[in-house]
Formats: sequence, structure tokens, C-alpha cells
Amino acid sequence: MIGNQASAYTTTAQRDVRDHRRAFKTTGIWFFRGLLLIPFVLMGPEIISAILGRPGAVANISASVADVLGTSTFLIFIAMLAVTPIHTVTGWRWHIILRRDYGIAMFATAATDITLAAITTGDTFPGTVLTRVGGHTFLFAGTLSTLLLVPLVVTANGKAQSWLGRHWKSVQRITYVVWATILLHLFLLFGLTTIFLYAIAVSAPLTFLRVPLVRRWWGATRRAGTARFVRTMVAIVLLGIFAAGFVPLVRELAEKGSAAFVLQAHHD
Amino acid sequence: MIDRGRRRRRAKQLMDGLTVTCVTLALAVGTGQLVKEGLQEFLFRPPGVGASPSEADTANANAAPTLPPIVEVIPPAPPPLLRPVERSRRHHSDAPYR
Repeated sequence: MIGNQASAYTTTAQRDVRDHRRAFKTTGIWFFRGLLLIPFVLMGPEIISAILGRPGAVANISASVADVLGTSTFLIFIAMLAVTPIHTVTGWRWHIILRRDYGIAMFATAATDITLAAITTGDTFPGTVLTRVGGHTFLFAGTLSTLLLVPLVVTANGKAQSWLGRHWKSVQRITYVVWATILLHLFLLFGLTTIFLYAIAVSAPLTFLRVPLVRRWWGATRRAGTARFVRTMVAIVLLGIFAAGFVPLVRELAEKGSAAFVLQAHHD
Repeated sequence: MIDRGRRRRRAKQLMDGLTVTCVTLALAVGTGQLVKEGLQEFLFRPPGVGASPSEADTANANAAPTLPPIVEVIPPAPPPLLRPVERSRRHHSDAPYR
């Protein structure tokens, strides 16, 4: 009732500003949702070639599936994990819906990755399908990460949230286990070099902003409008560390993904 | 109210069961492969298997100093003693290095 009375007194200018803001938010959300199609677009030509039975198509997928879909899965995961820290730092709420969308997209990408790997990597991992998904420690860690996404995806909707009630959050905490198993997967693959170090660099600020003490302090000072200088400096440092890991990963995906898109997979 | 609490607990148990199933499935695959292939095969990964080196790795490898090839270490064989050939002025006058 009070809300209706308030809206009756809003001027046309205020309404226009509100409509513009809403349109901006909707555009932003759909832009970020659109980015989730990139891994499938990059792998599309190779998958279509394989379906059409073109020679060398399976070998192309085998060579590029881990580089394109594996890197994409991790980038989507990091983007999903960044939603809450962005809310902590800025107070924005418009992007929070993306956490669910990115989680579901991450599962879709990881499931496609593991399925294609199981079908096509027979040249690299001779044996059965099980050898291709669990024949090495790094494959086991990757498969475990993907399977742990199942309960997260099943409960990534409003119905499951009301069905589980206060237990919903404890189910969603599996995300942190997935985070650890993904880092283990990358460590077993790359050791203490490049991609693993980039993964640590992107993970560090996201972990820091999840520490309850930091999160509470940041939220309280933001609402009170205090400690602006300290918050700005810390935000710049955290953003720098995050970018040091995120930018090379995006570049990696762009280079390997564009090669896969034009059907020139890397044969190393 | 009690029904709702009970229903939520059952839902939680169901989700716990699903999680345990997923972990068990992964462990079963991993253990099966460990027994079948052996510890060495399971633990150690041949280089280049699983993921190609990142662009940064490739760039670092290219930038790393390389030993001179053997052909450069071995001194070149002395030229055969032949009749001196008259130098072509046209070529050497324009040569950038002397």
C-alpha cells in the first residue's frame, strides 16, 4: 500500500531514470550470459566436422578439447566465484543472478569436456572409456570435480532452495570442495608453472574477500561510507592480482580456441 | 511446521546421498584404474599428455638459451687447396659487411 502511494508520486523523470537503469541491467545480464556461448562456438566447427565424419576431426577434438573446454570451464567457474566478492566490494545486486547461470554453464561446459574427452582421446590414453576419464591422477581430479557439480546444479533453482531451506547453503558449500579439486587437477597437469600459478592468482583475491572478518568489515565500512582510501587501495591490489591470473587465461583461451575454431588444433 | 522441517531434513539427506554417490563413482573409477594400470601409470603423466603446453610455456622455451649445435662446435674442415678464383667486384663492392 505504502509502495503504491510512493510510486504514484514519482515524477516522469524519476521513472525514466529507473527504466533506463533497468534496461542497462538487463542488457548487462544478457551480455554476460552471451559470453557463456563462447566455448561451444569455439568447439562447434570441430564437433560438426566429427559428426559429419570428416577425416582428422576426432584427432582435432582430442587435441583441443582440454585446452578450449578445460580453460573455459575454469574461467566460467572463476567468474561465478567473483559474483559474491563483487557484491561485497561494490554493493551491486543486479549481477547476482549470474552466479546461478554461470554455475549451470560451468557444469554444461565441464560435462561436454569430459564426454568429448571420453570419446576422442583414445590416441592419448589407450584403453577403455574409464581410462580416459580416470586413468591418471589429473583425470581423476577432473572427473571428481565434474561429478561434484551434479548436486550443485540439481539445487541451483528456487524450488530446490525452498525444498532444502536452511540446508541449501550447506549443499552449495560443495563449491569450495570443487574449487580445491580443480586446483589439484591443474597442479597435477601443469605443476608449479603457468596455468596453475594463474589459477592461484585469480583464486587468492576471491578467497581473501570471502574471509568472514574481511567481508563483514568491508560491508560495514561501505555502508557507513568510511575507510574509503584503505578500501580503494586494497581493491586496486586485489584487482591487480586477479588480472595477473585472469588475463593470461583469457589470452590462452583466445589463442587455443581460435586455432580450434579454424580447425588447426595444436598437435604437441 | 514440523512437517516442513522433516521434509527439509529428508531433502538434505537426499542431496547428501547424491553427493556421496558422485564421490563414490569417481573413487570407483580412480581405484579401478589404479588397480588395472598400476601405481606408476596412475601417478606419472608422460610429458605433453592431458594438455598442450600453454603459450607462456612455449614462449619461455623459445627464449631459453640453447646450446650450439654440434656442427658449430666442431671446427669447419679446411677448404680444399684449389686455384684461387678471381673475386667478382660486382658482388663484393655492394656487400654490406667487409
